[in-house]
Amino acid sequence: MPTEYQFCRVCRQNHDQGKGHRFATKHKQRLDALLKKTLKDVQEVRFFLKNAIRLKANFGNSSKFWCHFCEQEIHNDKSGFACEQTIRHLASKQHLGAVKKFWFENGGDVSKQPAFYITYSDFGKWEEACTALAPEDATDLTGKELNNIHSERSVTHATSAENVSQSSVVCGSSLAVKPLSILTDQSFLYRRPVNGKVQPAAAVSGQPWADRLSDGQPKKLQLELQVRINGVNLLGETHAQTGQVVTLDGSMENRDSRGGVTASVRQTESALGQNLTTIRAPALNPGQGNVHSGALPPWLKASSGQQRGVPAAVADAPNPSLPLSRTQQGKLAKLRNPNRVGAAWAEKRRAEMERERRGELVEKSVPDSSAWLPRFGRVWQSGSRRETRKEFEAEKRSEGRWKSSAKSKRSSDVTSRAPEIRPYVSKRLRTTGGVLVASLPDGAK
Amino acid sequence: MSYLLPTVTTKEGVDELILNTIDSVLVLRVGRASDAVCLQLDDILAKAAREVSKFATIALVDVDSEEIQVYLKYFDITLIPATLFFFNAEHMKMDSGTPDHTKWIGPFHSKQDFIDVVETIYRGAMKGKLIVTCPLPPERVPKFQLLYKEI
Repeated sequence: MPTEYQFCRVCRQNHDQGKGHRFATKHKQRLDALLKKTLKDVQEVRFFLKNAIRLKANFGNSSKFWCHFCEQEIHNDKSGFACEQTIRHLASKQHLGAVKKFWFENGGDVSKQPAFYITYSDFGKWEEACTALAPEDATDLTGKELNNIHSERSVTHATSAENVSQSSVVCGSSLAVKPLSILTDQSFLYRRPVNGKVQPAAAVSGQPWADRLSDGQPKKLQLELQVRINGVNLLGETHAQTGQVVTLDGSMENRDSRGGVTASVRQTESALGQNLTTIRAPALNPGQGNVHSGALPPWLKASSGQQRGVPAAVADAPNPSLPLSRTQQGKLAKLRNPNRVGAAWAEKRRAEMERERRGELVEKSVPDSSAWLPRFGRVWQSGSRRETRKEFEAEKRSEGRWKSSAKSKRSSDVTSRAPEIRPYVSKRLRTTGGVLVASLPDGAK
Repeated sequence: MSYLLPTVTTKEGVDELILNTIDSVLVLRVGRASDAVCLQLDDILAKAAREVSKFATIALVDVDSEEIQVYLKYFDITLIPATLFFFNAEHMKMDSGTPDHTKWIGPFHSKQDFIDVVETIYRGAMKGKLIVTCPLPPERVPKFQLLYKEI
């Protein structure tokens, strides 16, 4: 007998286990997670059930509520009160039926059910509270004052609104960072205005309804409330700040024809800090750039005098990469993120430093490097001839390896070959013994 | 406190420090050893130097040295102490809610604050970020005001 497949909307999968599916561990876990998430949303709505708040009609309200039980989205667009449509939905008979059906289909603790719908008595109280709220109160709460700010904002700060939305563009280039003129007060921690919607983050203090929101309330709702009631006001505040920027800076941003922002050269005119000493940085000459304009940094410019100014403590500090063996280095190299800042440069520089350490890559212009000392082919060095030979062989080998990495494969085959070592023949023997001379190869004559 | 950490007084010294610090954060404190706030900062840096030694190098730069002026000009340093961060010869920026993202101006409240900042920069840099967000709450970030002029 072919088994019938069913779709479980909690697990979002088809199964052929029939009613037994709802006792599966995975299903139970998913159900718990889903109910927990839904409960959180419903509790947020419950806050407005207890505290009915009238909304100004002309403030657009885009908050939505997804009902898992009825599988439909409730829009609060035309709500006269905070979360009105959602509350009405949660109190509806249709929702109650859907909740019970959900429990029947998916199992779960029945005692938890009442948390997911609004009882008739609660709904009645809320409706009473709503009727008790006179329309005048609402006007006081979010009325003319805001309208004034709204119009003011739209007139006076029309240009600064653009600045706010564009300011994030400036940070795009790697070297140029546009300096800010006022304290951002870590507003970066919160969402910036995107597509005209405001995700406010400022403290609630000072707002007329701040006393109505206790600390224990869900934060999301507080924010939502602010958007709904005071969205425009917050916008106004934001732009008031930006307006300050504009007055301070004058024309700080230069926009090019493509709408991008080109970094202009600017320098600190005056600085003031708590207990901080102010110094006078040398003035920038025309044509010169600084960190704000993304000019070439000084450490990448070749300096004229080659004097080693690194303090002994830093120069003598043991480099952790030096004592590591080749395999250890290879392992470490694998651990490094290839996308980290300056990865390509770091690898190049590491190889360069390694060569510098071995004395293979030494700049001719550096006067105090050890390369200028003549080499005497070890004739005056102490130690046995065997040691000298071993040293020579090792040197040749390493040289060949470096050359092979630099040159093409074909040439590397030639260079990496072990050097030909000919036996030592005394000069005296070479000159006196005719037989010996004759036996030497032509090149040695 | 400055004697506990290496001090650089030349441009080449700073260059070499920046170019020779690979895959770890270079912290440069630009300031004056006799300055009271610098002393406070140097104390924190000296105490933290050992703890961050696996992923950061700390050095001091003397602001009064003639050869350093090119760096002061480039980084637009007007308030001391100013702390600069580098990673693989790239200048690292940090958004700490202050007017200047390019450097940390002023002292740190505690050693742990400094370690947190350096660690955040290191972690960000290892992920390829040139600007990171300050891990410290705003009340622990020194406040200052800057006014820029355009050239």
